[in-house]
Amino acid sequence: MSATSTTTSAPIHNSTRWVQLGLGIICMASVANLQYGWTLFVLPIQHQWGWSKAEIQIAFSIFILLETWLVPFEGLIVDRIGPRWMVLAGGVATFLAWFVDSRATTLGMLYLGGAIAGFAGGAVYGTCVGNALKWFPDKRGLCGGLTAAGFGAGAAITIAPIRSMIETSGYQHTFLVFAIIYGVIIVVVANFLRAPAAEDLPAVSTIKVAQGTRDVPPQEAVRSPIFWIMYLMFFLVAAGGLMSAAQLAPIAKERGIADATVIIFGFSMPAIVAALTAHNVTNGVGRPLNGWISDHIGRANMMGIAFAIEAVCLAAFGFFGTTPMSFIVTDALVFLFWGDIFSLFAATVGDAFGRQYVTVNYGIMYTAKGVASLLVPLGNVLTQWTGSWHAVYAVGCGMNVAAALLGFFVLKPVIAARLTLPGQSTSAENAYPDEEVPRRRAVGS
Amino acid sequence: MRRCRGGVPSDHSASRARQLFRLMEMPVPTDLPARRQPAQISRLGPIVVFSIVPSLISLLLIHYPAFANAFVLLGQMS
Repeated sequence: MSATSTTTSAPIHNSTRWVQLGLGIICMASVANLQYGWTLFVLPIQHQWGWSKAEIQIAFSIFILLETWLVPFEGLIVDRIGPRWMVLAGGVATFLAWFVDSRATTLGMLYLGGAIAGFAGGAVYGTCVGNALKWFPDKRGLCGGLTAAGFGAGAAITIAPIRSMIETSGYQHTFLVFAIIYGVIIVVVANFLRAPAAEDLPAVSTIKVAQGTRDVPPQEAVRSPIFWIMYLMFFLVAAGGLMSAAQLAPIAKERGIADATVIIFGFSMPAIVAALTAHNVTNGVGRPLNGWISDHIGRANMMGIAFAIEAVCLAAFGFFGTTPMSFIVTDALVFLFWGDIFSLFAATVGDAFGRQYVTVNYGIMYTAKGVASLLVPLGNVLTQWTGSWHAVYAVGCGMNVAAALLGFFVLKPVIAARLTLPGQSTSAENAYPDEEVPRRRAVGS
Repeated sequence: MRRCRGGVPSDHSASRARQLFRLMEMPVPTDLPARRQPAQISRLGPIVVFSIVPSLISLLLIHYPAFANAFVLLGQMS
């Protein structure tokens, strides 16, 4: 590919790729309530069948596990056949999952619904993030972040109608209606999704962050130091945040915040509800915001800054979050710099290992959050052992400091040594290696 | 080096046998084992390590409330 041809193709790709990003976000929003809407159904299911909450929540755990761990497997397929068929399968599975839930008369059926939902969630999430990374080599942080944030935003839009329908028509009818709505939306939109062809890509000169010079397959990526540095950082930040979040309710209770009421924008609400709402918003906003900044100042710089601030916010929460308002603000700040792991690492994987295998490579990186969740019980043990949640926050803070130091002093030099700015390359081919591959893949997608 | 089992050469020794036949300018027998495709086999390695194995381990851990709660928390935050 010549630099001239990429430059002339710019007007074409600009509209097409934003449409592709929008389609991906629609799919993400449509699949999001498998995850975020579930909590609305737990009590009605419990009332209907008399199962314990713990038994019902196993269905959700199965969903989360499969959603997390199957992403590499689904990514491997997507990188071979393109996004259309995987998202289409995800749409059908979304319908099936909630259809099974609507008909479930045994816990086994509920768990089956959770497993199908796990496949659906992972298929749509991994594919749409991967597709955004492929279409936007110059804005991977922003667009990967927007796609990841769309997951939460979609849920926020439809929580109210789902809650209302459960109250008026029952949870089984609601499962069925939304299974059809979400399933149809995803299946229809999937037909318009495609991977970018070479001519769809932006001008090389617009890329401001260092890139790898070729597409690296997963079996090679997992043997590279940069992969393991990132995996360790992802794990440290994810685990630190999860362990701290697990202590939120006990901390709020201990500080007398759980029962306090605050007035925000004229609305009176329990402080704990305000804190949860605020941190859900900042958790979503932080993804595209910090991703966008990383597109301009470099991934390692942004990771170092974000994780250092996250450490400070965790400390501030521990020391200063003693009043309802300071509790809400410091908690929200913690999540502003926690959610960005889902955009920063996605973008860096795309930069380091190229476009062709980005879905599977990021899928493998994404499993770090699953590994991190295995550390949460250790946080609880630590709390019991020391008799205070302070130790957990100290550990979480230390993990973020370690991740920030790794970003500045390990990842940054490795990126400088192994990746190059496209403008510094001897030819444009270095920015878009294997031109023929995306052409072929676009046909199959 | 892999051993020949039951007189049938492994893919490694089959490869050497092919080379010998070619060196001797003799036709290569068709009943030698097919060549392995290492790239395709090893591509599944990361999937097994990062996807299949942890799925199974986590599904076992679900029965412990501490882990079940951790997975629920993960779902609420990610």
